[in-house]
Amino acid sequence: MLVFAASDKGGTGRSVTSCNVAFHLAQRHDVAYLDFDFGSPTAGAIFDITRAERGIEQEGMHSYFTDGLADPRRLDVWTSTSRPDLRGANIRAGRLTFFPGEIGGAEFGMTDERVDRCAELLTQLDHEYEVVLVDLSAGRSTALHMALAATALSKMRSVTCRWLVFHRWTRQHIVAAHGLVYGKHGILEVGKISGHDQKDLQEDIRFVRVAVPLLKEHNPAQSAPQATWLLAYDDELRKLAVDRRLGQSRVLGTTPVEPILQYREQLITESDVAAKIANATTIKGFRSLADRLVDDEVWEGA
Amino acid sequence: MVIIGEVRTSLLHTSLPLPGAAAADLLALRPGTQVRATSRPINRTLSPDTVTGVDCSLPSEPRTRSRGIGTVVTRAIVVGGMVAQASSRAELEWTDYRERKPWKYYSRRPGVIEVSGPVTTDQVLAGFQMPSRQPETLDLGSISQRMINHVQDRPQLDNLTALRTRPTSMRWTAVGVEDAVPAVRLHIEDATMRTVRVTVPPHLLEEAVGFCEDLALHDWLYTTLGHVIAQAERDMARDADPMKGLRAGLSLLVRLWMPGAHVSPELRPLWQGLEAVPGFSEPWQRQVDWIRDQVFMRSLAAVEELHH
Repeated sequence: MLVFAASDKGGTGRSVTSCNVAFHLAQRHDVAYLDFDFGSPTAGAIFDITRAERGIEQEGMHSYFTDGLADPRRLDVWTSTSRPDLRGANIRAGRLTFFPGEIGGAEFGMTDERVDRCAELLTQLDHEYEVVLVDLSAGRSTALHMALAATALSKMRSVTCRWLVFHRWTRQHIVAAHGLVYGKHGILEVGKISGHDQKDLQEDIRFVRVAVPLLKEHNPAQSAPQATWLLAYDDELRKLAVDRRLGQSRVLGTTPVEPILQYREQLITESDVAAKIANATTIKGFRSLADRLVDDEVWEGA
Repeated sequence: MVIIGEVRTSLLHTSLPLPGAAAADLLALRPGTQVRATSRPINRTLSPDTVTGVDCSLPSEPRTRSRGIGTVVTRAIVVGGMVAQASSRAELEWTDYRERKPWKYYSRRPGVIEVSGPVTTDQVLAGFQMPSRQPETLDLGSISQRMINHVQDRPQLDNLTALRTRPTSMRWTAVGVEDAVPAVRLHIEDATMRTVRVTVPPHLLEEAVGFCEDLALHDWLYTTLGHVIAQAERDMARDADPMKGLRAGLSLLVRLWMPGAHVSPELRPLWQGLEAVPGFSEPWQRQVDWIRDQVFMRSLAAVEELHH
């Protein structure tokens, strides 16, 4: 299965959420994580792989597309991470293979040849990994267009593709996420031009709401008028989301506000929760995203 | 005399094994060229050789200056209509001249690389046996990978898979030594990379290519069945159904096991050595038995459940 992670804006938590979802999926499947955020590869830092913090020097995803490199570099997250609690946390975990981007890499143009190479890589990895998660650059990027064009090729018809659109829980983010999917030059329009069936493509898209405040929880620091305002506004956002076709039936899941992630993008593990550094609800959110991502029933008809 | 090579082995992107004729069709990569096929004891189809020109330095250990000019030949192989291999190789010949001759000269000698510079045979052999490839040197792996990609992209394949598997690479060197008793050393470098060193009498050097391809196939089968079992145990540990992977492993892989079947009789003793240390067919059989036992016991449990 191929999973594409997109967002209209940067700073939505797309990469950090995707990495955490990959981490949970890898507890029981072989998972590949591809950094297609060509302009600013950051997944290496999230996995705590020191030598690939901002991408690697050479033989990364960039060179695969621009230099005709045959074997892009693969890093095994379990053995390359500097976090001791990731190594050997689960003796039966599947593989989690990270395909890093390159330092100083930049966005590049899309050509037919690159689309073919993209399809070749994705097909190859789909036959090797249960889940292939592709983290796309924010916005209407080359990475997004290339992914849409590659998956529209007839030879990729038999491959299961799922698209995740990440957005934060604000009016601006909801409007932007709507635009990225339904708007001009959005996923559906570009997908259709690339050769996708628009209806099928739409059924393969789900939204992920990131860093949504939990208003039901009692918060002693909050004044009564503030709480009332927040509840009312939250309600309004829900209506807006439904109105913009981002409603509950199209949502794969929600992640709560997690203080750690406000400071540092990283994997949240059980040991972070046990040490009471991270909230249990955060891990629950990531795990539920991972479960629902591979649950076919969730994806049958939106 | 030295031949170097690299074999990449992967599961063909097809849901069911290709019939012999379809495999021949798949490997008819250029019109008008002959595909070779044998059907017994198991179907094995060979594409015609393709030739790649190279002019680059060679890996060496310790690193020494060298220049290799010539051609690499690559062929694709399909075994049992299910496993795809790409095998690249070149014979190394040391020369004195420095300047590159017209390409016509090299293209008349497909599969020969002429080596100049102070580098010695032993240094090159050691360089090719390194677990990770030296950058900016001859990369037979990527030539093979391109061939694999080309084959996997052919329209004869339905692009479906019943089993997710990991491709492996086998980098090998074969050295011809007068009166040598054939010998092989297999080294498992990591999850996907193997290095092999073969020594044979010079007249058997060409046969070593087929042996290495056969070894790469069986090493891949062995490794892959190991993954099938690991995935099943992972499923069982969390109460998920392991049957799908186990069934696919049994039906797709097991009948391909035939070490030495396509190897020249004079080199079959190499297999006997490997069967003794580290052992191949015996542990393979134990893995197969384990899978069959699981399938049997689970089927029995399912039937019993029906009766209650």
